[in-house]
Amino acid sequence: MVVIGLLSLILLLILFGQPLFVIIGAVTGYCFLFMGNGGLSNIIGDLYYGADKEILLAIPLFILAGNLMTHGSIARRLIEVGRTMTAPIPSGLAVAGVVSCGIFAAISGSSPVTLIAIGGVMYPALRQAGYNQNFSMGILAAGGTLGIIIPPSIPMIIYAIMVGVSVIDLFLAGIGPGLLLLTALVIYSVVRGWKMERGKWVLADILRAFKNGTLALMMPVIILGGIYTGWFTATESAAVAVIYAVLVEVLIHRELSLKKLPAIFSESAEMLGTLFLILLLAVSLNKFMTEEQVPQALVEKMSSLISNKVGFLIGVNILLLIVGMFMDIMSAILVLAPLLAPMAVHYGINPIHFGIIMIVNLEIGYLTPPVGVNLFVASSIFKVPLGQVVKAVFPIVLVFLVCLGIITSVPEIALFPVKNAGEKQKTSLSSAPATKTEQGKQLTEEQQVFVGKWKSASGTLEITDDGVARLAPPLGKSGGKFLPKLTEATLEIQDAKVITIKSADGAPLTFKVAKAPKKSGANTTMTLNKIVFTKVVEDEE
Amino acid sequence: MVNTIKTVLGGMARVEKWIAGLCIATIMVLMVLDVFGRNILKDGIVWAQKLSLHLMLWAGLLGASITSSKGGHLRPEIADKLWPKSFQPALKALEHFLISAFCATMAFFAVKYILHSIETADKTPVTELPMWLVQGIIPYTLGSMAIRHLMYSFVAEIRPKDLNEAEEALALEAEVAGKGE
Repeated sequence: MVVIGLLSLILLLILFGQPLFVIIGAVTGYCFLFMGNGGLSNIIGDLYYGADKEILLAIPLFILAGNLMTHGSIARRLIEVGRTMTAPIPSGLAVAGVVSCGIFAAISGSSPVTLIAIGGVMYPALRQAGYNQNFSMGILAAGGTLGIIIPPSIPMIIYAIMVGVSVIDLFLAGIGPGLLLLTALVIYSVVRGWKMERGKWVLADILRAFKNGTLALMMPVIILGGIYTGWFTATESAAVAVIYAVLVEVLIHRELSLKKLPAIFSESAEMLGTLFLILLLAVSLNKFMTEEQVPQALVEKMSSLISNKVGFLIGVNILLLIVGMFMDIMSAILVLAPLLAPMAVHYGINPIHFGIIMIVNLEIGYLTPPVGVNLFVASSIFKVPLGQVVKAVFPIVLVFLVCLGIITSVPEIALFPVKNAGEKQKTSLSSAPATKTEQGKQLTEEQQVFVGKWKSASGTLEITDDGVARLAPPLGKSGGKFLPKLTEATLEIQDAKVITIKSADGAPLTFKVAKAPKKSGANTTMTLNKIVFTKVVEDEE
Repeated sequence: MVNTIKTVLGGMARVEKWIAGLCIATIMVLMVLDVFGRNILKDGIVWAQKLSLHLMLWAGLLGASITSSKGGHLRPEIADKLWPKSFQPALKALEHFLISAFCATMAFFAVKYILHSIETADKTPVTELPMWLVQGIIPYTLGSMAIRHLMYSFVAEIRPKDLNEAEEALALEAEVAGKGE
């Protein structure tokens, strides 16, 4: 009955055109009221504590860096580099368009902005050079979508937050699939434009183009290089991207005056606002679902329906392709990632690999009706009917589907840099070490009270001063609540009220500490998820 | 009357935009200094990240309020075409009324939450600021959105046009082109 009520609520809200933040907020409120034991004030607490994650800072900083870079003439500079470099190869101009889209998309992080910036310049050039209209539109519309798979990518950060995996691992895992999709688009362009007139390499032109475009080309290289070599955390790389963007656009290219900066800051806040409230409410809903073991229940249900990994992958790809046709990528990740990722883990799929599969599926959604964003943008800027754009991108959607099949069936394409970075995927659902690095500091005095050995009727919990929690034996049912089977997990403490345990084989669990431990006293207790833990004093040990 | 409402809501949006922009600029400065300090001088600003997180909460929530004023919130449009055209004006009014009701309910609980924070005199970790000061933006934003959508519900003339992602990108292009001229 409660579930029917929940589904009816969702349907009614969609029917009455409600924005996503209202839908997620109302669903969260309904869950708290009718399925949980908390009041609506808990949601407000979650809004505050949900925003207290260092990794979130990467979002406004990457948005800002993208805004700073795209307000200058980066697009023109990148196109010049591409054009001079690809002149002698078949369909060189089209290849230049595709490659420029790939690089610009990595800088801007926005698919429609990429299509507007590169497409606006390349489309007339391609038409003038005699390229087929549908072909020209198709490659530019598709090239624009590469931004969300080539890191840094905001959808990847959102996935990492919702599922509790390392953003850096996800960024690294995006490199291979991004290059695969880019290469597929280049091959498609070469094959389709084989008979087009070719140019020649002119050294002077190449040198001039590189002189003007090197700084733009270097941005993704610096960010990814810094992350790959371990110099930067994800948040630090975002800060570096901002410094770099300001240096390049304001001081070197001088295409962005200081007067324009306030407008760009406000614009960035506005872009953050589109996402932020939904994200915080989704984090609250996710926390509720995790505490109530909803993903685990779904995993059990799914296990009885689909018995093997291949069946799950086929099913989930079809589901995500359909979802991508009707929902935008951020909404889809916020709603579905916390439910699907634990199922993927259950079927033996690495959660990082699954994140990439999810993002590629939803990337294709940018090109599929009825709500494919790039279709509408292309129709508007190229001034052609929507139906013609849909027809133009159709062959490329097929190419992308083949790539999706390859990415799904060969995890190494995504995971090879992650493996090389030290077998990180083994602890990929534990992002707390990254959090600790993000923070770069030890636990505060207030948090130190958690450090030590704790015992309960169900087992012991050891919290070390470097933020690691060890539970032995694996905890099972206790006090009417389930704790996941944790052996070793990492810990994130947000003051003395909220504690998050992130396991290697499950989603992060945030517990309210009902009774926060005091600094002294032999009978210090804390209550996690209704399980009372008593601190073990040294003598007892 | 309509003009007065328009002026008041416009003024609120301008102030919110200005403060949100200032928060983003401060985050940028703090984070850059912290990263520079930690990696070059080997000594970062201990409170920089925490303060940036507080400012991000402000910027993000004020950004949500600004997004309301522009009709830019993400919205499943799947059911839009199910309704007859003649229903649209009433439907739009109901849509904004429901958003307002949701925001007002949330604002009510946010005020209760803040009052509790004031009562307990809780302070934020690391930055040691009064908790209510940081959290205060939650009831403000929700209240501001509740008022804004209530006005949009009753006064059709001031309602923003719904923008989807594609329209937003095209509007941005027009804005950038306008600046370049």
